[in-house]
Amino acid sequence: MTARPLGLLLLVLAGAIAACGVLGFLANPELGWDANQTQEGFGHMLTSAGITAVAGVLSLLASWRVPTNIGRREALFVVSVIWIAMGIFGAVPFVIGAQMSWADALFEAFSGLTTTGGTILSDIEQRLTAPLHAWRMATHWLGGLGIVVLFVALLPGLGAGGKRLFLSEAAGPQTGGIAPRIRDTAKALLWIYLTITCVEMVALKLVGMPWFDAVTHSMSTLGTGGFSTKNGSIGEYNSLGIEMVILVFMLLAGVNFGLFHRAKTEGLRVFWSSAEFRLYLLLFGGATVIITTDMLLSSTHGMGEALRYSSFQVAAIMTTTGFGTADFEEWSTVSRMLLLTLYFCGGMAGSTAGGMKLIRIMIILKVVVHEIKLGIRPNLVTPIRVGESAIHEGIVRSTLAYALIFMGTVMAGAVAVAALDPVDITTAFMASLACVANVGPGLGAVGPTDNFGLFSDASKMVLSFCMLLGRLEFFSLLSLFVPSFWRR
Amino acid sequence: MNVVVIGLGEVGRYVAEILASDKHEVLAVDLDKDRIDQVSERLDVATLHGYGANPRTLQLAGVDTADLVVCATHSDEVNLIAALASKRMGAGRTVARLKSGEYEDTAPEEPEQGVQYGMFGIDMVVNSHILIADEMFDIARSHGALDVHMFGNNRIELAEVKLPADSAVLGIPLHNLALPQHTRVGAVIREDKLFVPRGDDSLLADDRVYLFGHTGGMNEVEDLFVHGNSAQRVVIFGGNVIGEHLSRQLAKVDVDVTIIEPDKEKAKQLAQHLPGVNMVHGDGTDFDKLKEEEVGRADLYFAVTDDDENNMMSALLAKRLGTPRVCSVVYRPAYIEIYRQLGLDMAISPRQVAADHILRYARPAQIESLVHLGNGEAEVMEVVAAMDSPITVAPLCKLKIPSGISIGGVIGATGVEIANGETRIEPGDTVVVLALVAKHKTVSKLFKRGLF
Repeated sequence: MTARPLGLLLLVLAGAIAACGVLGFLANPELGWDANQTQEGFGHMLTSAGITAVAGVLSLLASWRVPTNIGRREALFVVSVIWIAMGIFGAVPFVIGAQMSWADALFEAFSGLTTTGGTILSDIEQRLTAPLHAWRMATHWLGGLGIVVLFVALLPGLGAGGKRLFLSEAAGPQTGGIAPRIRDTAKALLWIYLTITCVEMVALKLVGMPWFDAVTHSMSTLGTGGFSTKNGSIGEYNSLGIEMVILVFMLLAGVNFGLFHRAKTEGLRVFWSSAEFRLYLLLFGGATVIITTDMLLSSTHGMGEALRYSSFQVAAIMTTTGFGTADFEEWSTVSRMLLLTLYFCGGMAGSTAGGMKLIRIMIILKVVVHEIKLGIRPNLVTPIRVGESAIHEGIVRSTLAYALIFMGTVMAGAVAVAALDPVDITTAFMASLACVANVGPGLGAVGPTDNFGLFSDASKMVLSFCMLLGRLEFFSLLSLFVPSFWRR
Repeated sequence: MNVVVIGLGEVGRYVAEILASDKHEVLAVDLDKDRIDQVSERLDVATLHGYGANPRTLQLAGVDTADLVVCATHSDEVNLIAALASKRMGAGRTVARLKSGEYEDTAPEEPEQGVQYGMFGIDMVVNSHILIADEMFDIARSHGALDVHMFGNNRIELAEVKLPADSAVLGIPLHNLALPQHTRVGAVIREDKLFVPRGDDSLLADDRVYLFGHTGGMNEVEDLFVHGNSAQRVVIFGGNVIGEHLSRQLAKVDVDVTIIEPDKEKAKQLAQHLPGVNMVHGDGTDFDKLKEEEVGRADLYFAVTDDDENNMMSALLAKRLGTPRVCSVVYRPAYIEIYRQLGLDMAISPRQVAADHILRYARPAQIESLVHLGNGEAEVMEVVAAMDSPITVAPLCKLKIPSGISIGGVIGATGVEIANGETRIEPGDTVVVLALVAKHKTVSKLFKRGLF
């Protein structure tokens, strides 16, 4: 029952790997890299695609004539299995193409698919061939909107099962509701995603990026991933134009895609009418102003530079993309604390961003205010409201549970990493947080100029699992670990 | 097609489910949050929580851009108002489900005044109770049929009969069976499994057989398979809308009708409106009362109250008293199977009847499924044969029609014909087809433009 969707997705994955091989191959003249190496890389990609395709076909054969009926339990299982399998087969190109160890390759693949963007490679430019670069960046794009969303959009005949799959991957207070049929919803989302990505590609080309870089960085931006083809991330281009384009598109990727869809018919005012969107802009603006002021006061930068670096870095952390233009580790403690706070926020619900999502932050804040009011007037029965709409009690409860699991996972991950490797508290905590929130770079030994290569294999596995938990928003994956799930 | 379904009771949910599986965009509205959650979990439809006749709810549901609005809450008034308001707001077509007969009760000299004739601009009203009464009337008129369905504007009839152990047709392969002209065996249910028989299949005792024939000519056919007569003495348990309509129609054709109604006041009131009907006050689940009314001597017993359990017990008691044919209304579809196991072959579900009726109207496609047979394994549809479609190239006996599909009748320019081997379907003919649900695609291929 799981085998059929899994098999089909593996075939899609195989197609994507092969396409990245072709992309890297075609881009070689532009990049001017060693043609032999690229050709070899191309071959490796085809081998990986072949392996994935064979696994897909086998999986399909295993499910031949087995009816696909996806209930609630099956949906949770299918989504979890699919993500784990995607990570494993997504790692194959790294193992074959760059001779990485399995632990490294899995970390890189999960980091890509969950749009975390933390890497274990120190010299990316030399280490990877052009096709492999393309694949590494494409994993962000595939994982950004959600593999299952792509699947639901492409495959007919899933019916209500498709809805259960969709909701198991993207659980949250505000999902669905774009179109009555789930497949139309998925299609609309995919269409928006594709359009914005293409616009960014052109925009990046116009401000001076080569095509290969423009295509790959667009995929990385829209998935709010954070991988780059350069060692110095976006900062290496040292171009204000490129930074501004990427800044804008990072912010766009953090917006609820449902708003774009509604804006098509209802006009631009839908953005402003969303309380979550207003908070999103307020947070971005507020944090940028504070950090800029802080930089000016410590007079390390001029006005223009301060604004440029702070706004980019705030957007990169808030949308959980994790691109870097500045080493924010050298910033003052106030600025770093502020960025640390943003790690928890994330973008809007229904976007490709990770983190807790602003809608949840809003609900939790409202609950706190509500509790305070209840202390004064115990008989108050007003519901929690976000914007105009009252939030259902069940959603409030699951939001609180989510926040607790989020914090719990961050702490557990940090403890596990600290136990497995000799690292300081900042590094352990930030590595775990950056992975659970799908941001990428942290502070300490995993700061913006460092990478995750220092960790042992065991820690890398722990952190990969943290990334996956964060991306699937805990509940789907964790339900597999509850004994009653397996009882029939 | 953009569909809004208001009210998620048995009918609403079923209609929403079928339309959603037909790939229409369905939005379901209900006042009950639990029902909303259930539906949104089980079906691929959007949902909205709210009161169906509230203009703001309707606006939110987008009835102004809907092609079809189905109002099927449990309240007639809400349904009518919701349908009216939707129509005003610009909905394409509106259907309102009704339960009481009041809104359709017109003076005979001015029949155009009822809601069923589009009085308020509602495109269709579906009254499941009246539909059931009609279906029960057809059963009463037939010679021993368990169920009767009409197609092609009432010109082709599909009757379901159960073969007794001494039926004249047992054990003879169908192609040797001397059937009256214009009769065709469409499907057989044997041991709870429905199949479409071929020429060399033969019938066994206790089979339930679906027969196609001309309306009006079916009694002769039924006589061959079972030996019954149309009912002369009928007892109805329940003086509600169904009982009232059924008894009125039966009384018109001089059938001796008795209604048993537990509520004395209601019985008295009803008796005044129903000349020629014997009205009795009493409980249909009271064995002595049924004996007293000589239910065992009736040809047909109908249990039509609003309560499933009472209907079931009453029907079983009538069976025990020796009534040859017993028919019951069943509201919860899951019960139908249990009725069968208890030996009650005739159970009609208002949900199925109303939903079939609404769907017949709602689906604009070339292929319309009109009625589901058995446990829903087979459907009967009316299909228009396209130019050069595979079905039109030769007489039926020369064509290789895939198994599981049976051509029932053809409505063409020259008239209505029940299919036989020599029948040749012309492009443009409307064909009544019985097919397994799994063969739906094959049927549409047969009737589509040249796919050889």
